[in-house]
Formats: sequence, structure tokens, C-alpha cells
Amino acid sequence: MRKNIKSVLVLTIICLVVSCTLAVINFFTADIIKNTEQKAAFEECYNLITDAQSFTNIDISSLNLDEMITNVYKEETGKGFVFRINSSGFEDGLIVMCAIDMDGKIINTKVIQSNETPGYGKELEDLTNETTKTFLDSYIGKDSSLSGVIDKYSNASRTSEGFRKAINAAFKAFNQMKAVEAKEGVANE
Amino acid sequence: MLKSLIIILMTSVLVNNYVLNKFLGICPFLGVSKKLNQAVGMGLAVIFVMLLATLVTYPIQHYLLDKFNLGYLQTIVFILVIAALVQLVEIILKKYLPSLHRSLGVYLPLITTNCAVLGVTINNITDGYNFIESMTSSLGCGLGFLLAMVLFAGVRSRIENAHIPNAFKGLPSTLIAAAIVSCAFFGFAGIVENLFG
Amino acid sequence: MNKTSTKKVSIFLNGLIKENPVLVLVLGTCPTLAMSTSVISAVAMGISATLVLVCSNIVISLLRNIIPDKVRIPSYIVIIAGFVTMVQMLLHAYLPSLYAMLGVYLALIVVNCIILGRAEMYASKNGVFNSLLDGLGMGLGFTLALFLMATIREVFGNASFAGIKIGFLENYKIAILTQAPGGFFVFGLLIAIVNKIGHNKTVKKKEFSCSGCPSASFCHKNLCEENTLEKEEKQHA
Repeated sequence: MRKNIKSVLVLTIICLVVSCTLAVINFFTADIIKNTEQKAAFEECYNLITDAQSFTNIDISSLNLDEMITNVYKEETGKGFVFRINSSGFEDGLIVMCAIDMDGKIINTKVIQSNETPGYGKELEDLTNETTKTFLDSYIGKDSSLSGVIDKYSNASRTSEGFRKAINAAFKAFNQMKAVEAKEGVANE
Repeated sequence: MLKSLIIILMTSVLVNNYVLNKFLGICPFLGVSKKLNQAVGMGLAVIFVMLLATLVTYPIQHYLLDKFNLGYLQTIVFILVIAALVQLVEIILKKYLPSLHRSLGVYLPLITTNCAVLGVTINNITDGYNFIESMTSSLGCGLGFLLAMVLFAGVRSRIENAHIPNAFKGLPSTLIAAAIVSCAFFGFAGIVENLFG
Repeated sequence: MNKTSTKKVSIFLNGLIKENPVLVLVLGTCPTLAMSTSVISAVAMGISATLVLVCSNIVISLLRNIIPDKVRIPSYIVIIAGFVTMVQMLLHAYLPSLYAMLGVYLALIVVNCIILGRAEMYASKNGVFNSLLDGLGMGLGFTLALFLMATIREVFGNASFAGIKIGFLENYKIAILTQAPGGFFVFGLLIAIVNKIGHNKTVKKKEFSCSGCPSASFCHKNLCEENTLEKEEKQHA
């Protein structure tokens, strides 16, 4: 009996000590984590809309956006929206950011992160690669019909499909965001 | 709703097979896949533990950890819950269903420290699935594991009768066979998009 | 003094070569296969695992006389999970790109057979400094094996090394090496090479697989093929 009590006591104490240590570390790192993530996301937004003034991260939890959309950033001086999409190409986790201006035309797009095959789909992340630049630039200025964009990135057909899925999701979300803004505009009047 | 569940199921069994694509659950895969009945037993036990683990960890994550901002305790809580659960199940099986315990129970302790179970519970949270989707995903991952094990048991029984150079006997030949089976699963790559548009 | 210092060095070198956890003991295969697609993620995973291994070995060795036998495994798991979470939080805060590269496999270090196995097999029975050396040796052995695999996979599969492109191999890439089948293939090849070189020098897996496996205490030695083979031999004898 005594042995059992001692066992449980030791285990509980170990759990408590470990949890307290983690709580302390969490206290110090949680804010840093939040700020770095926010900063990194905003940095990408500024990369896409180069003459932007400031962005706000819109709370999309109550809107019914496609589940692929992880974040929506609104440019405060009316330059447009930036959408962060979690798509899947050959593998999951194909993170694409797409900036769309208020007329519904793409300002710029970028692949932030992916688990695609190195040397093939993963090259889409590398902006020093000429083929990648040409591929992504073909999307600039296009509207939701996407006529005239480069269809497939060579040797990475599934990654290209995932990218296209992401852009389509961005346009859908853009229309929804516009509708929300219009409703808010009417309510404010 | 049903369509997305079927997509999740097919993806985790065929396209993103946990063993052959995501490399989770390799230790039991290499160790226990020699005989068909062992392979089936292990696979069924894994499905059972995965479903149970998701059943318990999903509410814990959403109603306990997220509510009190204790997200950083996820790893500890999940692994402790899984370990405790498996112990409990083994004790209950031993007492009330001894026949089932004899066939499945021996594999249960080996699954506690299995990457696949912890992996599937964490991935369900990261992928943002709701409860039903999480259960479907776990079922799919378990089925994928079972499929890989059973296929592999067949492959290994053939390898046993082949002439293999000494250095390759045992694990290396198994791994190279696994490479070929994994290659075969690449054939499923486009299946989900093309079946469901 | 000389004898003890050579003994300490041999503890350290043990994990590095003779009982290399990945290539000889074949433990911790999951992160090995998953994280060896590029050299940077391989080294990052190796160093994180080494950190956790060393810290948990030290703490478990310190507490080895206090933890009762019954709650041995759960206590080890809590301590190891604590260190893994610490590494997770620190990486997330200060090196977010590495954190993104490691993904779920960082959390899976907690069920890495190497760490739990070493805790059970060595740290719970030896002094603090020896446990530290053992942890360091095993962890660096793990990192070495990962580095080796990642070099092969990245150089021949992607014609680059740690992100730096190698021009003249660009046209001879074997892309499948960076994907799932390639991982199995290179791993199998490496173990075969180690077997060939090692012959009788390295420890035969048969003698160590059960005691190195963290589930040994509950497994009843029923499952692993080596033991069923031994059982069959005994029955026929």
C-alpha cells in the first residue's frame, strides 16, 4: 500500500514540476512566437503589395470561407486583400499567398512554404529560378477567369494543380470578402 | 459531408499512407510483418488504439487545452493519455474478454510508443478536422497501416525463399522491398482528384 | 586515471559507431526516413534529438534512485516529453523556419525508441556523467547516420548540398531518392554496407534488439522475429 502511494506521489510530483517548468518557458516564449508569426506574415504581404501602407489581419472565424483559407489580410488604404491559402499538391502543406486588388485582379502571388519534391515542385518557392518567375508572373493582372496564365510548371503537374486550386479559392474568398464589406458599408450608412 | 469523409478515408489509406508515405509506424512494420496472422493482428490492434486515442484526445484538446491556453502541454498530455488508455484497455481485455486478449492484447504495449498513434492524433489537430473527420482520418490511417502490413507480409514470405547476399539478409532486403511497395503506392497519387472531380 | 578516461571515451564512441542507434540497433527509424531528404533538416532533427536525449539522460540518472519501479516508464515519458516540449517552444520562438521544417516529427521525438530505450537501458542504471556521455554519443551517432543518409539523398536526388546547388550533377538527378521509396532504399543500402563492413565487429542485432526496445518490459518477448525464431529453435531442439 505504502509503495503504491509513494509511486503515485512521485509520478504526480514529476508531472507538476515538468508542467510548471513548461508554463514558465511558455510565459516567456508565447508572445515572441505570436509576434514573429505576425511579423513574418505581414512581411510577405508587403512583398506582394510593394506600395502598401499597413495591413490588418481580419478575423475570419465567423465568415464561411473555404477551409483552405488560413488568413485574410486587408490593406488599409484600399489596395486590396492578401489571402494565405493552405492547399495541397503532391503533398499537403502547399502554402500560397495571393494579393488581389479591389477590381478583382491579381497583384502578385507567391508560394511561401511547401513539402513538394525538391528540384521539382519545391522550385516554386525559389524566386531566383527563372522558370518560377515566369510562371508566377503570368498570373499578375489576371482576373478570376485566369485566361492566359501558364497552366503547368514543368515536371510538377500536381504542384501546379494545387497552386491553381489555391488561386481559385482566393478568388472565391475575395468575392465573399467584397460582399461582407458591402454589407458593412450599407450598415454603416 | 459524406463526400469529404470518403475523400479523407481514401487519402489516408491510399495516397498518404502512414507507413509507406509518411514513415510513421515503421518499427512494428519492420518487426511484426513477417507472418500474415501477426500482421493482421497488429493492424487490427493499431486501428483500435488509433480510434480510441482520437476519441479521447480530441475532446481533451478542444475543451481543455485550447480553453485554458495550455496548447504547449499537448505533447505530454497526448502521450500520457495514449499510454494510460492502452494499459487500461489491456487490463479490461485480460479480465473480461480473454480470447480477444490472447489474439490482440499482446500487440497493445508495442503500440504505445508507436509513432503512428501519436502522429495521427497530432495531425488531426493540425489539419483542423472536426470530430467526425478526425475519427474518419484515424480509421483511414489505421486501415492504411493494416493494408501495408498485410501486403508486406506477402512480399516478405516470397523474399524468404530467395537467394540473398549475406550483407543484405534480414533488414536491408526488407527495406528495399518496402521501397518497391512504396513506389507501387505512388500509382494512387491522382485517384482522389480524378474520382471526385 | 588512464583506465577510467579511456572507459569514458569508449562510452562516448560506443553510441557513435559500435552501437550506432540507427544503423546497428535500428531504433528511431521514423524520423530517420522522414527527415533525411535534406541535410539541413537532418542535422536539425539530429541536434534536437541529441539535446533531448542528453537532458533526459541526466535528469533520469539523477532521479534513478527516487523513482519507484512501478511508475518507471510513465515518469520517463513525462520527463522526456517535458524536454521535447521545451525544445519545441524554443525552436518555435527563435528559429521558426527550422520549426516549420521539422513539423510533427519534432513532437514525435518523445516516442523515439532511442531516447526511451537509452533511459531504460542505461540512464536508470548508471551515474550522471556516464549517462551524459552515453546520451551524447548516441545522439551524435543518430545525427551522423541522418547526415549520411541526407547527404546521399540530397546530392544524388536533388543535386544540391544543404541548399547549395551542385551544377554538374544537375542533369543526373535521381528524383525518387528524395521521395518515400528512396528513403527506404537508401536506408536498406546503408544497413547492408554497415553489415558488410562490420561483420563480427559490430554487435549483432539479435543480442540487442529486445533490451534496446522500450517496450521490452511489457512485450513478453512474443513479438519480434528474433525471439520467435529463438523460441522455435528451442522447441525443435
